Amino acid sequence: MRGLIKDTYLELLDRKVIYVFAVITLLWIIGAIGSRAIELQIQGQSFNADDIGMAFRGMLLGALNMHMYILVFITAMTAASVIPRMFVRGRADYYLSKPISRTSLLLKKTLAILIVYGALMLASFFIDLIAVSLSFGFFEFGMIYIIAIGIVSLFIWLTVTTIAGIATGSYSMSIIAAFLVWIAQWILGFQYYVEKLIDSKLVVYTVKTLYYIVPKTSEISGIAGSLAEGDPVDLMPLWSSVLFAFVALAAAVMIFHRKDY
Amino acid sequence: MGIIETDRLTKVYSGGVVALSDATIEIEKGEIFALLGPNGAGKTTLFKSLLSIVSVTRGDAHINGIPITNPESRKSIGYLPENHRFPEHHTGGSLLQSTAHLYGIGGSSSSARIESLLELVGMSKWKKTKLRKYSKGMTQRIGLAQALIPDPDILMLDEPTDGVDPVGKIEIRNALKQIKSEGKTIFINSHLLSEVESVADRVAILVGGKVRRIGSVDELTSRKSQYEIEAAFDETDFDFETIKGRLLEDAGNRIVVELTDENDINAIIDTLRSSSISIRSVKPLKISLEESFLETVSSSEEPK
Repeated sequence: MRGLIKDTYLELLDRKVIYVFAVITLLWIIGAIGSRAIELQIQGQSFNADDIGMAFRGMLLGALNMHMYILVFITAMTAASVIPRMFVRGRADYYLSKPISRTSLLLKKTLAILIVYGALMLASFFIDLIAVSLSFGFFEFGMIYIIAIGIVSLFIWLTVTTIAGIATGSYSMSIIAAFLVWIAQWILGFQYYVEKLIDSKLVVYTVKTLYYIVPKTSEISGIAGSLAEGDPVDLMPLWSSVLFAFVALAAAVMIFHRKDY
Repeated sequence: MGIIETDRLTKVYSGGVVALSDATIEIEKGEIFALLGPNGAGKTTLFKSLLSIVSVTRGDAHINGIPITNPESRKSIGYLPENHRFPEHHTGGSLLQSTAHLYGIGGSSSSARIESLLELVGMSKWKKTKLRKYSKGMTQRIGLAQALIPDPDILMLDEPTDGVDPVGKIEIRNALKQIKSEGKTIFINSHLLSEVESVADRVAILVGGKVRRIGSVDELTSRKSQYEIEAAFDETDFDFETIKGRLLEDAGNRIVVELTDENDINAIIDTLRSSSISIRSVKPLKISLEESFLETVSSSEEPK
């Protein structure tokens, strides 16, 4: 496991992904700290961050959640190529000839990606927290939900890219698959309107079934925001997406076992 | 029992391509065993089957008595793949470290081993250089080092001298001899026949996925039933009609005869001695491994 974590870490450094994270985090901090200087004019009166109190807190949590959502998306896209690159012709032999079962190799590598890229997200998140705490004197334990659910989201994305990468052996297909799922979950988010607007039961049931199957990362991000703000939440999108992730991972292992390299 | 045993190993790829057909071989501990064959003969497939990189359609195989389906069977194997593409984010040193981890080897003992292997393959100077900056020969040498990381009982090398310059080839050949002297088994796959002839103890020739010939280099290169006899024929008026067999070549004091029965060589020796001809040498006629290989390949071609 240690070897695979180090292997993933070295690849991350080599691909300079760390700089992308640094730039995004820096931009977010500049934006967050800069918002302190914003003054709102409402009915001729000036309001700043301190005056609007709870509303500003909500905005900050929302911004933090959005930052995490962007990081999850970028991480998923950059990590999408890790598994397919591992099993390209000529490199697969190196990994598969070692005394480690295919199941163990794939699961450990997926976990290694989650640990390494998750650690990067965690670092980015804590830099955000420190910046916000120092600048606004604002910290709530509810914020931890944002990173915790961000990591769960990353795991879900990873399983999508892993199964696509293993099945097709192509990293571009792996990234495309992640995109397609992202678009699909966004469209399926409107399933409520489909039910209202379309008469066909077949279409409604199909859309509903797909809605429950496809991972709902946007809704999960919404759950993180609600939990951070202490609002009540429906956890169905979270657990159904996690279930999808485990099924996808199991399917990836099965496909991996049948493949010749 | 052999250290590597295959029993009617068969691999049929999707689409019906038969890459390996009933391949049965047994490799003894401590020998250098070479696999020869034209392109597409199934050599690499045999290697990959033994390492479970490709699944086997039929038959079975054991390494050190362990079925190849058990990952433990790969614990005692070091493998250098053909056309390898080691992860390029590694340096030579970190690749060896990562390989050690994959074998479950860690700590200071692995560091000492890595240093000694880098020394053995002459790559100590470049251990901190990224693999993408290596030449083909350097990559091949670091590949050999990674194959040696687990101190394997069996070293499987697929085209180990591919892309290596002549000096590098000699270095690799010497390294193989040194590894063999440590009691290791080396299973080598190469199309460089002269290389194989100089290092291998036994050879299998694979054509169209089938093992066509198997034996020691001596067995494969001896021209069956043909002998070269050197004797003082010019000192007497010897009548070659009196010897058994067919005279293929007469070059003064050196003749080549072809026998219908291997035992006839004793009768020839008796005839020469009774004629008071001084015999200098009698040896089975040898051909090069290349000739033997070409003969096997051409005789294996099925009539159209």
